[in-house]
Amino acid sequence: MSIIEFARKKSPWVLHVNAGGCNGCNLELLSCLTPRYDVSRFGVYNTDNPKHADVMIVIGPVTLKYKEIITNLYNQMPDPKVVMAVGTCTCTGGIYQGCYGHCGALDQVLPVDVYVPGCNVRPEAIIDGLVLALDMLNEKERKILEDKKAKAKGVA
Amino acid sequence: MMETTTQFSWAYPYILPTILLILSPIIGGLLIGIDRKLTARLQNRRGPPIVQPFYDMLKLFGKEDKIVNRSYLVFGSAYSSTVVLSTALLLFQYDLLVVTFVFGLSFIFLVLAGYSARSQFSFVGATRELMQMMTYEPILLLIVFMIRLVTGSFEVEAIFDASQPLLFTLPLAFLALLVILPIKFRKSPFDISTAHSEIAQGPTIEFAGKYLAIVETGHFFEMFFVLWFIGLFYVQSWPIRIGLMVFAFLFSLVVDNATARLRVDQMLKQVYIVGMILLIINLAYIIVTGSWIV
Ligand code: SF4
Repeated sequence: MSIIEFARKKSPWVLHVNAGGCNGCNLELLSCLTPRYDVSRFGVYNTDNPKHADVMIVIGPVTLKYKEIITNLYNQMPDPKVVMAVGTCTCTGGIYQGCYGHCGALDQVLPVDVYVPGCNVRPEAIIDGLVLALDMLNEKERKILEDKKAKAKGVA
Repeated sequence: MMETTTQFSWAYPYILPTILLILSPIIGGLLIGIDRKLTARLQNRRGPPIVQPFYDMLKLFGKEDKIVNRSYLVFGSAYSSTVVLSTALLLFQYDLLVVTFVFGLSFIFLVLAGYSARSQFSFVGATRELMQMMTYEPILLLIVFMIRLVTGSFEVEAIFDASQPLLFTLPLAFLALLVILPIKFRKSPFDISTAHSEIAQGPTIEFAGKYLAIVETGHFFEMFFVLWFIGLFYVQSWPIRIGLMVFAFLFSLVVDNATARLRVDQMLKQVYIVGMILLIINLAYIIVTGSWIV
């Protein structure tokens, strides 16, 4: 493990996006940041800026209006990036199943890496999901590098 | 033995500044880490490890840099290099006036970087940064002029040669410096330009990857620069000098946690009024005690 991969595991900056949930999971996520669960002790930092973020935490079954915004946010995040779907309604549609105003689930819109089910989720589950996401960050970066190498070889 | 001392004695005044210049990003980063840790402890949290800023920095070097245009990268790098330059000038005891102006120039570059990216957040951030600069720069310059009045020269060496420590002749100017301290650290109540979650980091919003890391390194140097400047107020003894720096650091930390963000106009009024009154009283004190050197 190189030193940058080690550092990457130590400092995940998260982007918190609410794409139309009932706000229940938002509050759980915020309680992660407050003294009781305090994820900032793992170096988690809540940026409000997609350009600085590593992990995107999405809550809610992306409403139709929000579809464009969320793809925009995703495209603005620099690689390597990981998307976490937090809450049952984000993973599968949950209690909004069959409603007219949303896309169904987050994976209809973006490639999702980590699913954290629960309506509403426990903060412990969010922390577990974050730990999974951290391993994924390094895997993704390695894959990107390999792709680049393969491309360079193909060109040469 | 005698031979070597005379041979290299010209180099002695340069050894300590060089070492400090190399160490200053590390010291600045650790200070930011300690700051985050202590803030967390004040809020009854555990907080990130002290070396967290370095983890962030390394991680940023391993990320893709999404480049919007060239000009803001140039200005961002110019910001960091001018901060490094001003730190070096201060450590090597150059003219204090030049040091202050070069330090002011670094802020200008950050503002230009904010203006040259087409994003309303960075635009608002740059405007606020400019307002902050307008607030602290006159007071900082007046403090430098008053240092000139009591030491007789703009050179930093004159402070070392002065009969009394600056703290005794300029006690209120020191307080004025403490007032503008949060502006330079970009902390509450004056964290207006980088207002977290209001305008999302202000001028640095469009930076990503290693360019963000370069700008953040500039912040490390800035931290060290400001504290070293404060240390000039008592150069006669090292323990008190370091004590002053630690005091200023803790003061800014407590103020950061105890206050909320102000509006731009509130900042302008409060800092001007408080700072100017302090400086004028101090000027009167200098004149009355006759420590004025022309
Ligand atoms: S999962 Fe349940 S609690 Fe969470 S946002 Fe969706 S509907 Fe609300």
